[in-house]
Amino acid sequence: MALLRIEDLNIDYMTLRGRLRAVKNASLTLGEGEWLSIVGESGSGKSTLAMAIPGLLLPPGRIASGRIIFQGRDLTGMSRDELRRIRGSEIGVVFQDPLTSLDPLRTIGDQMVEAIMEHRAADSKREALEMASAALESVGIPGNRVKYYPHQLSGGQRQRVMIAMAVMLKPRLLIADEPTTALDVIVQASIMRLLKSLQRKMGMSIILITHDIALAAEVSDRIAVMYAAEIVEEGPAEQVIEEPLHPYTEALIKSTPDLWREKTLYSIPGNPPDLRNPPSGCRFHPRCHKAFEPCKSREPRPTRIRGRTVACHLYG
Amino acid sequence: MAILEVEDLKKHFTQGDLIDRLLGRVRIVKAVDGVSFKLNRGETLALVGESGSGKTTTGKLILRLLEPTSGRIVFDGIDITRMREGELRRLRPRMQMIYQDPYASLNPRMEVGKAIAEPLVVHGRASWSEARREALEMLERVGLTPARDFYRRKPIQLSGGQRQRVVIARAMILKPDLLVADEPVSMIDVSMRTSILKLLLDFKREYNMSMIMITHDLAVARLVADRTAVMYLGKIVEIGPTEDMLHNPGHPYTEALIAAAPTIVRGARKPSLRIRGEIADPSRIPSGCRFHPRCPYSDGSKCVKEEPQLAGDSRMVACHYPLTR
Repeated sequence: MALLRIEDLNIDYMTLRGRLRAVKNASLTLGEGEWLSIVGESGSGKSTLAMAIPGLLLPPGRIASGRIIFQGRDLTGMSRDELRRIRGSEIGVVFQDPLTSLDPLRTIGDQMVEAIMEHRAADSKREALEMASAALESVGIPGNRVKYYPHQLSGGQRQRVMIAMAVMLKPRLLIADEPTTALDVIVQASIMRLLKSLQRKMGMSIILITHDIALAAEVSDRIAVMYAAEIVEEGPAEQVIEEPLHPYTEALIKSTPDLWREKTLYSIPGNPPDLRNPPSGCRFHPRCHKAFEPCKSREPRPTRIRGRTVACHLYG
Repeated sequence: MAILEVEDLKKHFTQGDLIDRLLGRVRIVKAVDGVSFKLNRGETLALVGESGSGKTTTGKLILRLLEPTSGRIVFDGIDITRMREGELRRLRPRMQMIYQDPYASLNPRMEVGKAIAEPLVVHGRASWSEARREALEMLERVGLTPARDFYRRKPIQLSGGQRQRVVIARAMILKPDLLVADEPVSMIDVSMRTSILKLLLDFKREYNMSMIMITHDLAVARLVADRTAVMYLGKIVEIGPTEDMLHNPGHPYTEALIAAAPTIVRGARKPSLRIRGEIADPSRIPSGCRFHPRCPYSDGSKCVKEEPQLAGDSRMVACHYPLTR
């Protein structure tokens, strides 16, 4: 059975200049222990989609329609309190910048103990502190660092602490929103290895949000590519990378500089669309070198093909 | 013929407030700690490293946007290390810099066309009406068409990629001999990155300009740079022809950067990543080889005591046990 099923999800931002649909008709399925990466450029809606799952959409964002079924329950109908209980214990979340999520004036241990007690995962503070230090050990930080303040740790260590906090109550799903974008490449590689080993050890599912399709290619079981608020292609990582079906996926891969491929100076012509005024038909058609007649006028529907879902007129 | 020669360049910042000074607690941050290289006319050199490596400080020192602590900077045969601002002003049009954040580099109130034309007027190269005509040509060149329409726009009406094109146009209108580009594409969406790099390369060819590309991304260096210098804690640890260095790195740190670069190629023959930890605080630089605490090949004695110097011919490596030998 799927751990998570997103069905026809639509998310709007109400702005002064009108309604902006940030996620449009998104559907996804995530199995137990699977790693799904959602790849897209800025404004593609990838973070909005991921943040809607644990109920972390910030106003003026709101779910307009659709369902998010997690372990058989629809999260979109849940109260704030119910969602808060699920966050941390069943769904862990890691953000790009650990400094915004850690309180600079309190020790790491203190903050971890508070989260553990809130979820009643320990009977005493002493027990909670032991859990906290074990959680630090599990991400490669000595357990006695519970006494440290956030500023006493390096950027990479702080992100490890955030991961420890996100997984210490053994959630079934971890959502990581650009967790390494603020970090150097060597630290990034070590954080990705840590996430991979936690996924295996805990049998946990992961949703990684990233703008870097190469990073996604290295770690994911499945990849979903978003463009202008829509999922344009989704499928097994290896297939999406080696034989992309959607012209945007193909172009994104081609335009990503890579040390292990032939040098090319390819880039996608044009600019990403303004979501307040998206192009007619297929939203990618003004930049697409394979566009033909129906692309301008008709929106492509997601189609199942070769184990993948693709929204492109080339595939019916 | 070298357009730029940098010799043993250093920039040390003192850190600490008045009280720290009185108590003798001042720390010296060695942001750039003895950098030397030559850049030929028409050549592109990438300065690659992680945050804290000193690459951006090096770029600013070269253009005398920061005062060097010691060392020598020779631009087109002229020693500019201690040159006064008045004299420097005459050289400024020949050396330009563009920054990472196109949002911060443009005056939000100024029409972008005027922003592009302005340097010509400021440096006395043209009248406003001539400058306007050249700016329109420049807008066309960088792909912001129709130029007349774009001329009148404010930065807020442009995407990040379009703003960076404006920034490039503003720097290029003076036809500089040297461009220092500091992470010019790291804030630009992936699908448009290479188009910005291509634009820079086109200008470089047309003007026979020399370029220093500051980047944390080896894949970007590979696309644009003839040679690459890898920096670590204020020093160049390896420098040489880019492609050759990527295939056959000499310094363990270069190898680690290559190993850490993500790739879409399944089964790519990457070196394995064996280093650990993070870059040290530049106010507490490790003894001997500054990379030794993270180096899997450190011998625990010579590497800890003795600082390795850059050695070699076209490829130079600062390591007691280079991988290329």
